[in-house]
Order: sequence, then structure tokens, then C-alpha cells
Amino acid sequence: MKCESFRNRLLALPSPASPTTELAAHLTGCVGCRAFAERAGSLDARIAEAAIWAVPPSESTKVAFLDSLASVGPVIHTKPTTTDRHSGTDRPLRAFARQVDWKYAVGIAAALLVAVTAWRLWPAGPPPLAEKDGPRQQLLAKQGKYLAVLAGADSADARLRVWADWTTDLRTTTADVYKAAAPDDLAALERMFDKAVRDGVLKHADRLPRHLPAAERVAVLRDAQAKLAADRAALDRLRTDAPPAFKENLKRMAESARDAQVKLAALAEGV
Amino acid sequence: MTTRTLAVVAAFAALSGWVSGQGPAVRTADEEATLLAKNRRLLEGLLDDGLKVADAETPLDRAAACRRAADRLAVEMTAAAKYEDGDRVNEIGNQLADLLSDGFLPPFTAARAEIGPESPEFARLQLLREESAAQLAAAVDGLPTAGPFAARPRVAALRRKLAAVAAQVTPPSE
Repeated sequence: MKCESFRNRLLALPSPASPTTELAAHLTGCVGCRAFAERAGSLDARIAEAAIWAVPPSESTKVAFLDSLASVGPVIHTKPTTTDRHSGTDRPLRAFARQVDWKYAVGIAAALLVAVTAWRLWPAGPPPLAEKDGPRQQLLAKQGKYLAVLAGADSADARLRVWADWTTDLRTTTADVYKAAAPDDLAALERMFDKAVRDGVLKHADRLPRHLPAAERVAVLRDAQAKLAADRAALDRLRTDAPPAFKENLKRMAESARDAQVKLAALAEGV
Repeated sequence: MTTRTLAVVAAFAALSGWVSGQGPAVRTADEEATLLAKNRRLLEGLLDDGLKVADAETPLDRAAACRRAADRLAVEMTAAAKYEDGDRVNEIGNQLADLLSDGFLPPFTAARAEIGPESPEFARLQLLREESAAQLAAAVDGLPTAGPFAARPRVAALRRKLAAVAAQVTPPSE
């Protein structure tokens, strides 16, 4: 018999001074329990002698009093269970696990993972300054290309084609700016257009070699003539809604194109 | 049903708007006029150069006329570099490099093949080579070598491009 069990059973007796045979056997071999029994008996006697009792305590009153003493003391009412060394930590974890709504927990974990990944992938510092192209004028870029083509053009018909295209680009640039350009700038465009027609198109049309096959010669001249006709028509249209200050510029440009068109037609027919 | 239809229409409207925004921006007449004012002198000069290039009959003459046009661009690029106008340097500098490699070098190379030391044109050819090499060196030197402006990728790339053209004007054997 274990000491705890002995002491519980001793206190459950009507009088601790009269243990059962089984309890008495334990008492003979256990010094601690013997002392406990003596103290219990002494206490029992003192309770019986206490003056607070108006009437001699009944057996049931004594039992109730002993129970009240035992309820706050070290008396073990339940059978002790053996615990392993992990039980102290497993129980709270299991309880916590039962309380957690794992659907939300997984969602929060996924959101955190996305946030951390985004944080890691986001550039640490300010993005490098992007070198973006500013506004570019098409005419300037094309002129550089025309120069390179002319440098490699070793025939008048090749040069004539370049100048017909250059003239058209000057006309389209005029169409882009004729409502907003400064007078000097539009005058410069007019000068350039006239030079391109006179010293470019017409000069190289005149220089077409005589040995060029007639059909090829006519085709080159007609092509340039068609471009100048388109230039003239476009310039005439621009003139209708141009600012008054620019109408004369546009008129002269259209006339220049028309004159060149007539000369090119004559060259083509003179074959 | 109505909500779904509206949502689909809105999605397609947003998508088409995004696609439309990908094309080159259409500039206004004012913006075009500003560009014309900025480039006017250069445009007029290059057109005159083009007339001279077109008038040149021999490869040496065409190369020489092209070099003058290149010189005009080099001056413009160097001026832009002084003001650290990176976009302008990039625009004009690349035109310069392209003109030299596509316009100047082919007739210049042809002239070198045609003109031997005994030719009366040989002195002109040598002079053109020296002037071109000096022009290119000045253009490259006009680009800063230190500081944030020099460190810009496009400026560094332009420097390498011009140096590559210069190497062709003056091969290592000469």
C-alpha cells in the first residue's frame, strides 16, 4: 500500500485512532504514516474537545468537517495518472491546434509568402533612369539616310529618285507645321523645297544618261513626275486653310512643283 | 446578365485603349513647329551638303562631300554634349556614325582602292584621310569621359560606335 492511499483511507475512517487491520499493517512499517496517524488522531481529539460545538458533533458533521479540511489540503481524490515527459507540452499544442481554423491560417500563410516574395523581387533602390528618346523630327533622320544613299549612288537615275523622295518629305514636313510654324521657318522650308526640286530633281533628270534604255528612262521620269504632281496637289490643298501669312509660301512651292512636273513630262515625252 | 455584359465591354474597351496607346504618339503642329525651329539650320545645311554629294562624280569627291556633312553633324553633337543634352547627343551622334559608316566609308574605301601613290589625287586622298581621322577624334573627344553624363549607356555606346568607325578610317597598318 502506498502512503498516499493509506492516508486517504485513514482520514476516511470515523476515527483515525482505530485503523483497520490492513491499515495497521502499513503503520507498523511506515514511520511517516505513523506520525501522520498520530497527528490525525490528535486533531480528531481536539476537534471533539473544541468549545465551538454547541452540541456534540454528530458523525455526519465530523465527516463534513474533515472533508472540508481535505478539500484544501494535499488530499488526492483522484487516482494519479502516469505522465510521460512530453505530456506537459503536448496538451496545450493539441488544444491550440483544435482551436485554430486551418482554412484561414493557410490563407494568411499564402498571403505572407506572396508578400515576402514580392518584397524580395522588388528593386531595392529607385529604378535606373530610363534613357527614352525625346521627340525626333522625321525629316532630319531621313536627310541623313538620303545623304548616305547619294554618296553611294553612282548614276543620275538613282540620284533623281532620292531627290524626288526628299522633295516629298519636305512637302509632308510643310503639311505638319504650316499652321504653327514661325514665318522664318516656313520660308526656310520653301527654300529647301525649291532647291530640292530645281537642283536635285530637275538637275539629275537632265543628267540622265543617253544610253539608259528608253523605257527605263521614261519610268524614272514618270515616277518623279507623279511624286511632284502629288506634292503640288497637296500644297494646293494646304493653301486653302493656311494662315494668310503662309498662303504665298505655299503657292510658290506648288508652282515650283508644277513647273518641275511640266519639265519632267517634257523630258519623258522627248525620248 | 447586364453586369456581365458591361464587364466584358469595359474589359475590351480597356484592352483596345491599351493597344492604341502602344503606337507612336501623333505630334501636334506646335510640337512639329518646335522641332523644325530647332533643326532648321541643320536641315538647310544638310540639304546643301546633299546637293554637293549628288553633284560629285568620283568616289573621292563623294567621300569629301560626305565628310563635310559629317562635320556639320559632329559640330551639332559636340555642342549638345557641352550642354549634356543626352537625347540630342544620342540622336545626332548616331546619325553621324551612320553617315560615316554608310555614306563616307564606301566611297572613301573605293577611292583608296583606285588611287595609288602615283596618282595626282593621292595627296587629296591622304588629306581627306587625315581630316576625317582628326574630325572623328575631335567628335569622340567631344563626348565626356567622366561623370554621370559619360556613364550613360547610350553615350558610352555612341563613343564605342564612333571609335569603331574611326578605326576603319585609319586602319592599324597605316
